[in-house]
Amino acid sequence: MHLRNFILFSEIRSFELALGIMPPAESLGAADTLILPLVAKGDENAMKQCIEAYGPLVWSIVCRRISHREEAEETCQDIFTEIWRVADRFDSEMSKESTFIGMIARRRSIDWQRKQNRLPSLSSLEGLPENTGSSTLAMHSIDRAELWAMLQKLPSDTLELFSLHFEKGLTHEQIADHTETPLGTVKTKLRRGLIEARKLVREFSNLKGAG
Amino acid sequence: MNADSKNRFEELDAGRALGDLSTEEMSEWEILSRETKAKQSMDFDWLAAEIEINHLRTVHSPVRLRVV
Repeated sequence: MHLRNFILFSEIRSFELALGIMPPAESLGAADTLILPLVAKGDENAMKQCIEAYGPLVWSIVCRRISHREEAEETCQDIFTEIWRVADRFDSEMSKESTFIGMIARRRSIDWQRKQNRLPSLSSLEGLPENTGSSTLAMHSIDRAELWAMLQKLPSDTLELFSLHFEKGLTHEQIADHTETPLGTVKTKLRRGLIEARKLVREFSNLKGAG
Repeated sequence: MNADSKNRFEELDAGRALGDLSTEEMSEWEILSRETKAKQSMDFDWLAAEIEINHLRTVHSPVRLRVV
């Protein structure tokens, strides 16, 4: 299948979505329908639907980290090629489709950033869990508004760092520069923030399960 | 595996999901992951992706960053 033939990320609309000119809700609108099981069966029409539904999401994530347009487009091609290849690993009991696709988009764009900084790709790590369903968190059952409310329990400086990393797509070096904070402190706070967020999600899931 | 190693692996694994591991930390992650293989999960990857998607529509960056 030649994805390059019909992925048109250069369209003005997609670019406007990524730049936030169009309402973000629209950029995520078509998400969370079950397309990936069909993609996993090799259904090319489903792949087209997948690109239509999740293209804006992928493009938005990529554009946070890659400002060079051609490189961003190339990365999007790579992401959808990977989705075509690994769609059979998606498990709707574990996560939403948008989370699965967002995770792949994040990894690819972070690896692009690392390459610019002459760091090895994290996907080269030996022992990286291949099974994307291997999680102790049932993210599919948590509403995004609930997650947002949980995150508000984190310290304000952690939330600020989260915003710079997740919203602006800054590298940790860039965050250290902008906040005038030592790089080691930035790394530690972000890591501990993510660990604490996992703890909050687990507690919430347990309470929800008990209720 | 002792508690220190477990905590260290957890921290490195969070760093992996955030994309910030140095070359030395990647080696350390691989060594520790061999010891904790049975307990490995995608927790941080899922969570980071969810938080990123959440930030697509809800969070605004700090004022001082917008000036940059």
